[in-house]
Amino acid sequence: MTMMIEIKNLIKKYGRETVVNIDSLRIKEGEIYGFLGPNGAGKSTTMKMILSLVTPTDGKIQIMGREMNDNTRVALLQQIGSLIEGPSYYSHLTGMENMEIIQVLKDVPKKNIEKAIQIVGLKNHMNKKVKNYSLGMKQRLGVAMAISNFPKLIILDEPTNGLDPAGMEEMRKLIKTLPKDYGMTVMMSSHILDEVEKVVSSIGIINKGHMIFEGSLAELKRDNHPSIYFKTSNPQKTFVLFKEKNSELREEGVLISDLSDSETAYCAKKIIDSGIELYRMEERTKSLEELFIQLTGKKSL
Amino acid sequence: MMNLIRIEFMKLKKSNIWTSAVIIPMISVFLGSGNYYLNREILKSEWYSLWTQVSLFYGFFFYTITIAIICSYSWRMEHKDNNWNRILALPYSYLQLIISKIVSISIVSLCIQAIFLIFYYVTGKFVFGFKTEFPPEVFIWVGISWIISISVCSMQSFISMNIKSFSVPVGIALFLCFIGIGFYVFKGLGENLVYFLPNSLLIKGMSSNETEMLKVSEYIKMLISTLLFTVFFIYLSIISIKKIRN
Amino acid sequence: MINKIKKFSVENKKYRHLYLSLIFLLFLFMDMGIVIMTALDSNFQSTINKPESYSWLQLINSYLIAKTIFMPTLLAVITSRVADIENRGDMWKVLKTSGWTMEEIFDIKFLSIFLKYIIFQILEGILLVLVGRKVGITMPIPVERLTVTLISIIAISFAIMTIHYFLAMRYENQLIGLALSVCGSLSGIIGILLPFGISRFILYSYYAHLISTEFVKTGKDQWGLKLVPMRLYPLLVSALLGIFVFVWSRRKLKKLDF
Repeated sequence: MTMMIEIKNLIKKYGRETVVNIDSLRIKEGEIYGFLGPNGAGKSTTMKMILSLVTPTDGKIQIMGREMNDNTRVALLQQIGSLIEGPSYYSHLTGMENMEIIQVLKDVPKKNIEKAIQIVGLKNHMNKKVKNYSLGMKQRLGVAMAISNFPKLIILDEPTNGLDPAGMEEMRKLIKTLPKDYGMTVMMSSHILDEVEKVVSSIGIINKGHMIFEGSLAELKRDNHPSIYFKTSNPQKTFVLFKEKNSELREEGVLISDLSDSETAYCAKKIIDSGIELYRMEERTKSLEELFIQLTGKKSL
Repeated sequence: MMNLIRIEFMKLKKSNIWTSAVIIPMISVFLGSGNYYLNREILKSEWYSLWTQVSLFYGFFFYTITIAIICSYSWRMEHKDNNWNRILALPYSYLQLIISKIVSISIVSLCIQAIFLIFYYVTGKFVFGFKTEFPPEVFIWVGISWIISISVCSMQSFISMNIKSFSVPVGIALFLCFIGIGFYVFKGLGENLVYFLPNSLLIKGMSSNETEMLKVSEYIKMLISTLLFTVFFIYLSIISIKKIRN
Repeated sequence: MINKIKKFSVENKKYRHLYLSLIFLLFLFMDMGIVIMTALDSNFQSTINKPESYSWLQLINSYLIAKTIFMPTLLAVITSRVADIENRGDMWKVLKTSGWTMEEIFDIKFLSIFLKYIIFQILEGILLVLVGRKVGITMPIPVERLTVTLISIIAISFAIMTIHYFLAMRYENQLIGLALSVCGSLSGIIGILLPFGISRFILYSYYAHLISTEFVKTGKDQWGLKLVPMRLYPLLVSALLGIFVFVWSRRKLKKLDF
């Protein structure tokens, strides 16, 4: 499995402040990599360094096996599409005119552009000036521009920003097809953990410039036992039974955390033995949010 | 590279610069013609006299300032709406990006010169009905000053690339014109000061005040200066992009 | 009232990195440069203290020519600067939703730069006098003419400023105001050359209309200067025009309510 992006000992300092200090970050070819972190963690800066928009203070970035520097920049960028810090466009031109510029810039045939437009769902708005687009439309235009030459690597900075739920769903679907149908590797950053969970195969979490986790989604959740929700006829009494465990009283039952399989069976038996009726047992896996808070000690992204 | 230049024109398509590009040379010729008309008794050399009048303010200020306005407009499109992130992530070298801007603006500059020439010709031939031959030197003056304007484009492009405001580079251009006049007029240092600023070079190139054709050596010096300035500002522009990256 | 003063100072805080003072300084340098060049000219020097050469007025005339060439651009640049800062981050929305009315924004912005302009103008007037004295003019300063000229200049600049201010505020594309200033400078210069009967329709040439001397033939190929009564219509017309444009654009922008 070849590495699409491999980062070693990447450091970026602004004056005396070290904004990024990544020992290692690896993105495999053909995967969708979710890059998460709180505001100011260094996500954008890292992505910009991958695109050579910002020069690292130290360290190496390898893309498709070649080091990214001033000499390789042009050749590598031909294989990379990006959407960084919001969409870029010429507001006095129409959507179509903007895409035509991209067509010439990236030297791709017209049908690429038409396909990109179709994929993001902007076909009916191409003749409007971009300054009259809504934020969501601009965002979609930005994605269309990024994928228009169907590059090997796509870097998306918060691609669902500004989209309504339907739009987010479409964007999710779109991103999922990119590796499958077009052979692209996707690196996306996001604040909306729900989105990331549904789409990515690998996750990297960055906080204060350091990588605090990298691996698959499954790995992230594996070491955490699930919580079990017991819906019973007498939640109050149930709660009293398990006071010594990590339990929470809910409206119709009790939520108990960190239960192994045998512990779960034990709880179920105890409830039934006490004469309480057990209606339902549901597994509640820790959401990414909860894991995140656990890992970074921060309440929100 | 041709792609990049094509794109510049696609971007300039719906802008108002073409209006300015036509109106400003037109007004310059109109102004000069008016002045010529009022002073007909003194200005006896038909085409040549008309030239001195129309090209004076045009060469001193307005040609340069029009270029500055166009440069400002061109770079403003990139400063807005997060376009820097896109441009610097394109698979083109910084040199190519800068040169495409300078070339496209120089082409517009050429159009401005052409329009100026046309208005000059029309005024002389049809409005004033000159009987003498059209002076061939005019083609040299227009051509040389256009070539010099490339260095002005290069300089203004550098300024507009770094100063994100629209109007300040134009103010700076006006100021440099002023200094350029000073350099042009200053008689010391063997009159060589004129080679040290694109603005003053342009004034010399337009030759509004020269009573005789400039020597070939002077033209060669002007072209060398132009080349040096152009390269210098392209180099500075590339360095400023690299600085932005840090 | 205190509220207005507070808003005024908020507005000026925004100008911190705009270097408006620097821009004024640059243009002051250019204006004075032309005056100094006139003052050091050999012809001027040779007849400097003869009453018939009206040396003070010659200086003022050269100053007025400088104004015609440079002022439109200066005013366009300044008005563009203050309008553009709001354009860039789309601050209009923020301003309007934080309790500023459109009229207030309009008034305070204009007032801020107009006051700065007046200071600049008075400074130039003082410098003009200093240059004259330093260069050797010993004749008494024509205080009346100078004062009327200065006030007229301020009125003309006021009128031009209102026009460019409106363009800068109304159109996001600052090109329009700036291109107009170039055309304005040009038409101002044209206006100097045309008979005043015609050029009185060109606002940008009014600085030149303040020239209060005329050339008269004193000999076969000799020209001298003759004093002419001060023209007051530039002052009056500009003041009225400026007020009209200001009120009209204020109303128009409010209606547009962008």
